[in-house]
Amino acid sequence: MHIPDGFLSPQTYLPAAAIAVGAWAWAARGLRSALDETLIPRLAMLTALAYGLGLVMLPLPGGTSGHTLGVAIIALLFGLRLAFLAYSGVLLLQALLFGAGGITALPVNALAMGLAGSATAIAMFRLLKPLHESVAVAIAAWASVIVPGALVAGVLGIQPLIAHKPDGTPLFFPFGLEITLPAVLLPHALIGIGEAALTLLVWRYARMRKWRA
Amino acid sequence: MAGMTARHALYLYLAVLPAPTFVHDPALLALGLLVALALAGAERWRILKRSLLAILAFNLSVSLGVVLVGLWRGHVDTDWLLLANLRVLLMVFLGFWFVARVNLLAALQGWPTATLVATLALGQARAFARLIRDFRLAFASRSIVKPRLLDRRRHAGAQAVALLDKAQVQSTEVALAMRSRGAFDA
Amino acid sequence: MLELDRVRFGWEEGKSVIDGLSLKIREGDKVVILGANGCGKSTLLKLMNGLITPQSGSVSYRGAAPKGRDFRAECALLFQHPEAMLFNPTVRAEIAYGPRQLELPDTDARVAHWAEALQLSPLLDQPPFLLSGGEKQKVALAALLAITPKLLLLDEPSASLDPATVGWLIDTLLDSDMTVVAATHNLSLAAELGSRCLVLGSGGRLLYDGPVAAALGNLALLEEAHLAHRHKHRHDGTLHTHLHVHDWDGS
Repeated sequence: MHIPDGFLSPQTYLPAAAIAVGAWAWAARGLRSALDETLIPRLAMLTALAYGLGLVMLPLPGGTSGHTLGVAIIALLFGLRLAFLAYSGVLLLQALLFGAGGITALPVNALAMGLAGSATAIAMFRLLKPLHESVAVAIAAWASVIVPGALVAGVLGIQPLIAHKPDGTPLFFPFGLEITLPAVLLPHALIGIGEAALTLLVWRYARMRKWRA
Repeated sequence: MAGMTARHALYLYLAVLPAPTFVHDPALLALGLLVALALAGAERWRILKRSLLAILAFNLSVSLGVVLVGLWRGHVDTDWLLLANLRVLLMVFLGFWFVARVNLLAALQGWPTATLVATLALGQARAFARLIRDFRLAFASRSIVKPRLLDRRRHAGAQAVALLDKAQVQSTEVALAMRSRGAFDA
Repeated sequence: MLELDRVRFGWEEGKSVIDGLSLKIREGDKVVILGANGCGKSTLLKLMNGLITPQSGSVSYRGAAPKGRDFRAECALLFQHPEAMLFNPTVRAEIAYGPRQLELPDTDARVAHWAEALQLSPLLDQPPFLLSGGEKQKVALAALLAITPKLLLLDEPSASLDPATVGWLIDTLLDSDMTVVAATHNLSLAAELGSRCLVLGSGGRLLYDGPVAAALGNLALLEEAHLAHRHKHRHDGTLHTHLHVHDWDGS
């Protein structure tokens, strides 16, 4: 779920931009020292992959579908830094090429989906792998959808608190946490199940093909 | 934007875009939108239509929520409805206007790494979009009756696997091609 | 059986790939659509298979719109890139998909028959995504033939198949009652497969509709369709050019 432009206050997106720039620098530095000349084509292909995965419609119970996130797939197979940069790249391309998704909201979207989503997937997988690998992959994928959802819901939900007129009327997003959290988390819990099933299928295939970061 | 380089247009866009978030008067935002419409030239109505369609789902659901809560509380905040929707429309309009006028790859010239990554990514993204389109059409073609949830899940999995396969293969191929053309020579 | 009436279609706004095309396919026809890459052959087949809707004009199958269960049970399309068609966990499940959807009682027999015909029996329990390009194309073909379609649309059917399988395919199609429309730029295949030939030029324009032999003997037509080229060579120091087609010698 991307936040579009116009619903986040400058008090939110400006500090988020500063944090994101630092995070991108950290990711890029870490990659340059670890990978060889193939970094650029790899990053480009993963950016395209993140874009392509976003086009895959996840079937959900009830006949509905949602867009795949795919962040767990990319994070588990290719690592945190590449996944973060690839997702940031997709958000940037979508905004600058297709006019879809926000530029001012990009730092928040990138930090939530790209960084927090990837980190959650990897952390959950490492934590649960000793118990059962497939369950670890599934829970990692589910969590990689829920955690960014919670962050996005949180950022939206605090807008009325941090940016309002003297009489308390919100200037940006109008609903507080008591609405944004359930409104986002409930559908994302469902989407997370579809994402978990898809990630597990892809994981098994990747193991067959011996792909790794 | 006549006479301006793509890079300057990008800078201008990034400088102007945050401005509506510092404005809290719907009249000023409406004026900003009118100015943007005027400056956008012949494509203005196409860009406006595209912008409206892009914001429709999210803005409509949020606005509807505000209206419903307002009705329940006995007062609908029309000021907010105007302010928020005009602001989002203006910002999205600026985005689509930028996209319509500026070649992104030209804007990134001067940052060779970014240009290269963007060029490679865009080319491959288009190929992936065509592949997903073919998958979708093929599934429709082969499904004589409505497919089961299991079939739809398998189909989603097949798409993801195909994309991953191609990304892996292309990553290696592109690296080899770049090496053979001397791109990695110091 | 199938009719296109002044069909116009473009994937992007303002750019038509098919522009005002009209044609009729009769039951039992074996039709070859010839054209160079990018002339709209694949798009035309997708229009015929009811997968995309023309921006103007109409496509009809037996007088009705090409959609719904009855249409899908009768009309099948082999995609140019068959990996886009495969999504089941095994080759067996892939071939069985259509018959299972139709709830045919002899699904297992159909799977066994077409797997054997296309030498896929040893691969029945393999996942399709691990197969080679040629094997994937055979699996996709088997999956379509298993529902016994009345109208079979083929997009570049010889692209990944070995010559023996291409020969088998031609014999099978010619021996059957199926109406066949095959799009290709392979002139030899056209000569063997079809009795009727549609030649597409750039922009999806119909340049020719008639007997295959006459089309293949018309070098000017083939040149206009970018299926022949001017070939330069020297004889005793004299440079001359003539029109030349590959993979078709007319003998």
